[in-house]
Amino acid sequence: MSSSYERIFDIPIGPQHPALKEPAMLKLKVDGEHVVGVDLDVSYNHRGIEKAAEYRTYIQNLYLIERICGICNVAQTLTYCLAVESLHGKEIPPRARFLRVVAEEISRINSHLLWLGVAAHEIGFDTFFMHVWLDREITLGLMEALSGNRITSSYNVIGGVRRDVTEELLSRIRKGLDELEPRVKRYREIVLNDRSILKRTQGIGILSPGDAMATSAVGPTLRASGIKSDVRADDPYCSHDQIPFNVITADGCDAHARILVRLDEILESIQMCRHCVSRLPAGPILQRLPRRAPQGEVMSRVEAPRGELFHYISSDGSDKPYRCKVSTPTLANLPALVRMLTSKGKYVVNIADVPVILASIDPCFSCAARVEHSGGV
Amino acid sequence: MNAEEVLRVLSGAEGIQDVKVLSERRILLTCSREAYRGVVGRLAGLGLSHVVAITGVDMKESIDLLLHLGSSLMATVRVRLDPSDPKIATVSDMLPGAEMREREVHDLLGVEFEGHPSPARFMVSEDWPTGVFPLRRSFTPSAPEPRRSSPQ
Amino acid sequence: MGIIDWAFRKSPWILHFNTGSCNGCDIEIFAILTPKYDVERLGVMLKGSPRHADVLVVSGPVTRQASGRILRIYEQMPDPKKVVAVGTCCISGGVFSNGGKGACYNVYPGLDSIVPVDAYVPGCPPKPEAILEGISKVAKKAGVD
Repeated sequence: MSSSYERIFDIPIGPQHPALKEPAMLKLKVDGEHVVGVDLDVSYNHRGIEKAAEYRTYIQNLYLIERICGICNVAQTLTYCLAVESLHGKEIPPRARFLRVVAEEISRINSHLLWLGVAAHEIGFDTFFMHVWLDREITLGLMEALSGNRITSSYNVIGGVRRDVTEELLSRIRKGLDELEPRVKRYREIVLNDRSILKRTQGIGILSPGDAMATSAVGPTLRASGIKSDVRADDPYCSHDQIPFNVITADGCDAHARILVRLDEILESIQMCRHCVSRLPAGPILQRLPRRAPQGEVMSRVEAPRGELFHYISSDGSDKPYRCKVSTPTLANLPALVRMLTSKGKYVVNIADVPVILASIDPCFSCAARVEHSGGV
Repeated sequence: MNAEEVLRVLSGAEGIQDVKVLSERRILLTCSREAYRGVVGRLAGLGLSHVVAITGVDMKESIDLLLHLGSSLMATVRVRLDPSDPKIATVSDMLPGAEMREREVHDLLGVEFEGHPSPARFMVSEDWPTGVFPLRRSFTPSAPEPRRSSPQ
Repeated sequence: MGIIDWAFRKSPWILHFNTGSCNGCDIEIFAILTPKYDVERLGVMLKGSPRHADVLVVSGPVTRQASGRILRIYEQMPDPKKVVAVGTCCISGGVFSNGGKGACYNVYPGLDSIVPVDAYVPGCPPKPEAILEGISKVAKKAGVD
């Protein structure tokens, strides 16, 4: 018996584990308290959606694609609709474009608040978790008023949006945003000052800007490493080129910076919603498109709450897609997660920090494995 | 950086079979299997080193591998592989972001990535039969057999 | 009614397992634990271990890889135990099974093809009130059958 090899133990976490909201398996290699390696298994969520999409028409697929992820369902349908519309080569009416942004930003606020609660829970600050989730009900109420359902909204349809808004609803949205804004500012203050949050997140889960770029990280994970990258700004879709907003970055490169980026993004999203609601163009909300899509292949990108979401559709001219590929932000962030967990001696990763690090990329395994499975990683 | 710049740099490159500008911010390049790594390296040198996705498509007469690289511009590199021998060199040493995506294509479409650091199964379940690739056109999906008979 | 059934009725402790869900149902299950709905006032508590749980709340279509795990978790729970299937996917496979036409190859047609189910909560996702109703129905059934 020799050397240090016998000191390395495997610790499995999952698939059913209190720290995981979704089935996934992490095999941690630990040396004492320190994590030295990690292996991921996301096959628990693999459903076979990409294959099933080849057997459904474009309209049926809208409802299948929506169920890749319940949290970012607005972003999923938006990306899919953008792809099908560009296959037809058609633009949608300006009013529909603005309404899509409203739905997208409300769902982003919802997703970030949900995540903030989960992160607080992983930190061990359950009071904060409960407060955040109570305020999250405001955005769910707005989503229900806008689309008719709290979570799975089916708001985007091919060629526009499903429901129009009334003056009454717009003032309700304004009121909801006014209610939410001071709460989010208060949370920001707590995150900046609370000792238990600072101790559990500062210097934890470090991802250097170089590593973030090299591993093709996306979304808030990338922006928290100080890199200014946002699909809404770089490759604008809908009316994002007409709606002013700032790309939020932070240079902490740790879990704390990721919390701050998301909180600032909520404030930015509130401003964007207000802008859209006050400058909503008049006109139709739907442009009817034929059932059969012309032959061709298209790629579309959207900034989902977790980062860049990508769809590829190849059409052979029939009413069903030949191939439909979905690439989700969680899968893009997995290599970054592995770097955060395996420090290679540069700094120490304790087992106790693993849930916080995992939560800090906001994993959604149902998106990641979707696709061909569902995901979120 | 814009589409013209990418076209200018790549115009003389070896192994490029076709270049198409799909729209203002989308380019589609087709290259041979041998030239794949070289083309990806040149694009990465231009700043297109962010791996957006890797798509595998079974076109029946070939298996197409599409590597989507992007910043504000998105360039797609297409390689047509022989369905009887779908092998290609990995790019995960140059672009670490490609690692998980190559494993995904390997699991679901059966493309071999030569030189991949960890080609273990990733997406499909542990009891999934080897050699069956769900995204091939020849695969017909059906639900698994129930593990118990439903109560009636 | 024995003490076990009485305790089951008064405080059904739940265990949540996601078998491949899109997260829509999961966040509604978590919503019932948070202040707006707050099920702890009714004695319902979320547990982390199957060995402490009375009611297994399952969300999502059952995938191949998760099917063995759900069976193991079910077997680890002490008797009496009840299972609540939350969401259309969990009941029948929903949009993923599509009645067998172009079904997802990795999704079982419903949770009751793996373990016995006591209550079905339909919806995509069901509202938190409906999930609460499902849990209270199985709690009331304790000791009756």
